[in-house]
Amino acid sequence: MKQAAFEARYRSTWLAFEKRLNLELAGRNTAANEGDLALGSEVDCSFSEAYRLICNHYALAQQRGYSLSLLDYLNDLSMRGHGVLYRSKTNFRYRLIQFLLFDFPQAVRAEWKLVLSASLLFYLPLFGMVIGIYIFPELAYSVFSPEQISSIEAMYDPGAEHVGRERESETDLAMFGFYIRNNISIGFQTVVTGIIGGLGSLFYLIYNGLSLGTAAGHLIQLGYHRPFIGFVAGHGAFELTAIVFAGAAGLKIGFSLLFPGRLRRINSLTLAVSESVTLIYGIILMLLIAAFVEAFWSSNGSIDYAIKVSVGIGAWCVVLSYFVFLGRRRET
Amino acid sequence: MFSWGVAVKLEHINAEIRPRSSWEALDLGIQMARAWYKPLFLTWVAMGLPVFVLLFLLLNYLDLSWLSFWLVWWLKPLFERGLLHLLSRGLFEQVPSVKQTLRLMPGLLKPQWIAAITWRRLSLTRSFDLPILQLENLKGRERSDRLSTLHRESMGVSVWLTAFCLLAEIAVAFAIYGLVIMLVPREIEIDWWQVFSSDHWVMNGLDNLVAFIAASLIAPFYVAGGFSLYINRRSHLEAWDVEIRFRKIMARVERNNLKNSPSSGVKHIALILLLGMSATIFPIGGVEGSEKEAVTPLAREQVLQLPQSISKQQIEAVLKGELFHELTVEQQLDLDWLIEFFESEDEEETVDPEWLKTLMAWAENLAELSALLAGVLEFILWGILIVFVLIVLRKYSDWFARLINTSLPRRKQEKPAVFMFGMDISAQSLPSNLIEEARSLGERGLLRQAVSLFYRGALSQLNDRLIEQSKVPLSSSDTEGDCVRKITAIADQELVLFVNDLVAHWQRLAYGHLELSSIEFHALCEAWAQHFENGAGVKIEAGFE
Amino acid sequence: MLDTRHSIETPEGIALQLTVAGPGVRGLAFLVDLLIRGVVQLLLALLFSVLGVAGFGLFTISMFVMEWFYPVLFEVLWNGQTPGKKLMELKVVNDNATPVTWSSSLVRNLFRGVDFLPLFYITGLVSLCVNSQFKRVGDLAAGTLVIYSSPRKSMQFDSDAPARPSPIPLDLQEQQTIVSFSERMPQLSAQRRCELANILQPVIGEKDQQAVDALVEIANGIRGKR
Repeated sequence: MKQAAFEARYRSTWLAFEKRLNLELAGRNTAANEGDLALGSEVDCSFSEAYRLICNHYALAQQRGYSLSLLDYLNDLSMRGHGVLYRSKTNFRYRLIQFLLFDFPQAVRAEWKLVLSASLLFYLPLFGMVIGIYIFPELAYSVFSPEQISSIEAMYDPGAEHVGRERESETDLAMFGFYIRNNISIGFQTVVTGIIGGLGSLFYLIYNGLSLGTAAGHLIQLGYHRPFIGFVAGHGAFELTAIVFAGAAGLKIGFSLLFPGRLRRINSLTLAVSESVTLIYGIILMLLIAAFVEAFWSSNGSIDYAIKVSVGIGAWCVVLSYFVFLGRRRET
Repeated sequence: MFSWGVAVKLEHINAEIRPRSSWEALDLGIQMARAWYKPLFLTWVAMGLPVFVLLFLLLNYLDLSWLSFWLVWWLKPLFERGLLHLLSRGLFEQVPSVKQTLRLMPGLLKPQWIAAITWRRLSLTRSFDLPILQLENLKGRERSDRLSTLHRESMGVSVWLTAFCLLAEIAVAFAIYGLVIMLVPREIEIDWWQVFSSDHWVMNGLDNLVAFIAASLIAPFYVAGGFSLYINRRSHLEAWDVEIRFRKIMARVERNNLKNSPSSGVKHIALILLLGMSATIFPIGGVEGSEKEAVTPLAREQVLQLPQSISKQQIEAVLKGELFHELTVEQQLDLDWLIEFFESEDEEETVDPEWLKTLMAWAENLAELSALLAGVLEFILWGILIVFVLIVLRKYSDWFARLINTSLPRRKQEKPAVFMFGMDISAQSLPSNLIEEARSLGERGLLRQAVSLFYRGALSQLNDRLIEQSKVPLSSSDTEGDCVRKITAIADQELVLFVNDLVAHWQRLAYGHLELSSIEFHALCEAWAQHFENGAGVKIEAGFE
Repeated sequence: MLDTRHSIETPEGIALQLTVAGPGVRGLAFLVDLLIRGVVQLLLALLFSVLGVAGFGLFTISMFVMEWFYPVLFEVLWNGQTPGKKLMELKVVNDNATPVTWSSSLVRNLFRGVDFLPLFYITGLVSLCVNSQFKRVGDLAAGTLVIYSSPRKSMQFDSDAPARPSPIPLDLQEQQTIVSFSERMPQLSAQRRCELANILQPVIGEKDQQAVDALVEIANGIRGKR
């Protein structure tokens, strides 16, 4: 078929498809319902059928070597149709529930080896340091400088009016902002630097374990454990777990490059990353919760120590059982 | 046969040439640089490195080693010609080897080389302009007319290209330093500032080398980007890509004819055609091998100095044509989305607001605006350069003066320093019983302050002696090494050794945060007293058991 | 053949042509976004400074959102484009040409941190220059591409014109060449048109303006006009 005949025959189809594309795009912004879309379809078929028709025309035009401008036009139409057809249409609320009930706990369990390794890399230095400092108190000075140690001491001095980080109650919001920015950024760095063969994540895990352990050990050895544990108890379950997950995700990304198996390195990386995305969403969520608790609950000096500790233990139970028990049903 | 070779290779044109937007053209340039990166880089290094090393050795001898990279940097437009030659060959034929390109360099360097490294050096469209000189052999009025035609579209992008490449060079240089710092473990405490600002010639050489490497890494992208922009502009203006394809059709037709009816007449026509074609691709910048010499005269005639039709008036005419005008606006900046964005608010009203029309008009003028901006920028760059030269002249004024009159002493009028390394060394600022003061500080554990006092006292007294003996006094820009060197002129070996010792102690305390044992400290006190108490430090025979 | 166009096979069995965007435009788009972000943060700082200490909290939250999620929000909600990309006519898509999703956009922007190392986006720049599809590390990890978002093409289906058959058989590419000559003619000067047409003089047997007309008619013939 000559190009002119081809154009004459299908011109109306293309123009109708153009119109329909615009409607589909508009439909997403306004209330998208099937009725509206049906109005736009002059060709009596579903969008995907119309799109396949356009694809067919494009393939023919390519094969027959029609003029470049027609090819460009059809390429453009197909591109836009492709974009509309494959845009994600899932309901956000549904996705969220799906994520909370199934995807997140399942993803954590699927990576249990990495999560376990990351936990060891984080908690071993942490508890090692706590015990070490209990036996040799001056060990603390090998990690922190004297100035840092004295500022830590000042923060958790039981004599001080506000325990934790000194502040007024109206600054809770300010600290919330600070924690979000600080903690989530650290979480992201822990994940992302894993790309250097996992080294970055390794470093952040051990480093955070060591410094947290040093602070804890030093304060316990000074006898400041009540304010410190009272402060950390509430959000610890969320924050520490999130850091471990971040490390696990980072290690996964690093290992995918080091040991790609039968895949090409780049494909192995892309695959690992796409599998880690669920963990990353989870990390963001958990760190948000942690920042909220830390700013509005942990730092509240008027709550009794016993209540804080029991809430903390409760939080750990909730977090652990969430990851152990949830989302079992749909697993095969 | 030579022309055959070209005819065959024309079908193997190595890049997809079609009219693109300027940014897309730049991207194609990057693909070219990527594809031929190795020969491009090697050619650049083969040209630049010897010049750089020679300049460095020469300038290091004159104590001006920092200048060596800047001179190489200044000569960049000349080296870029080699890269452009390589690219223009690579587009149609095989990429020439480094050796072939180097052999051609004298011929490539000759045209307008003075202009390239003087008043045109800071042009912000350098790599875009180079093909006009080198491939079209234009000069003078012709060249500037041609430039103004080509600049109409792609100028903005070519200015951005220059700016980005400059930034990339700086970033790469810093990244090399950053990597070095990152790779050295933190436990090894090194005062990097001290290292990088040191005046030692090895360090200077490394500094220059890093800058040279950064420049070499970026250069292929810069030249290829400009070349691709140039090709693209010609595709728009002259349908240059269509011309190549037409010639390709002819080549095929002639080949078929030759195959089918090998009569000598047709062969002859074909040959001429092909010769014409080979010359049209690109004018041959230099003479390349003896076999081609026979071809060159013909080529020179037909060389597409330019298609004859592209005289300025005709282009003006086309540019004034309505269709072309519309097209250019579209290509410059598509503001449709902006209109849509505002229209979607209330869809009934389709009247363009007045300000939007103004904005569109402004967008149309973008090309002119960017030309103006580039002009202003170039002006500013020249200003900076002139200021820089003035500063250098001032700084090295005594050096220049000594060139003329060798009997002049070095930096005669330099004022004695009062502050060294941020410390006050004037006699008034020091306690009269310095030793006692320092000892009591040392007993209280304030070793740092004590040694600082010694250090200041020593510098103060030595400076006075320098002035007394009308030698060059210390200046606040001196490094510790400079001080020791100056002092060597007036003190005997023992004193110099002691000063060295003191400097080492001070550096360890101040930068390394290493403590001094009390035995060392007492030894220091003794020695200081011997050298400087009563201002009689020059003689030391007097009692040291 | 060096080109910035890449074919993407779709499930429908066609090859979509995407033109990937290189470091130049993307750098400029990034600068535009940086500028916008800077201005917005400055305004927010002024606004929140009225609210005192609590305002500081809001400001840090906004900083955090701008830092990590400004590109993500725009890319997902605004058709793959941040304002800078829109201005430069770029957009982000997955590397199978589907619209960018939350996950891929989040990943490609989180990995910005790696692209920045050791400083000034050097890793990203090197990666862009090494990869034939101009992908930085974030794009590699997320499987995304930055492409030129072609301005909507509207087709001119023009009226009848005289046509003639080609005097020699032409292959598809050659036919396309002649048609693009006729399509691009309006942008060329009359003399240049003749010059181009004269190249084919031995084939079409005419000269100058006649040759141009002949070519246009051949082009019409190729496209099938009568």
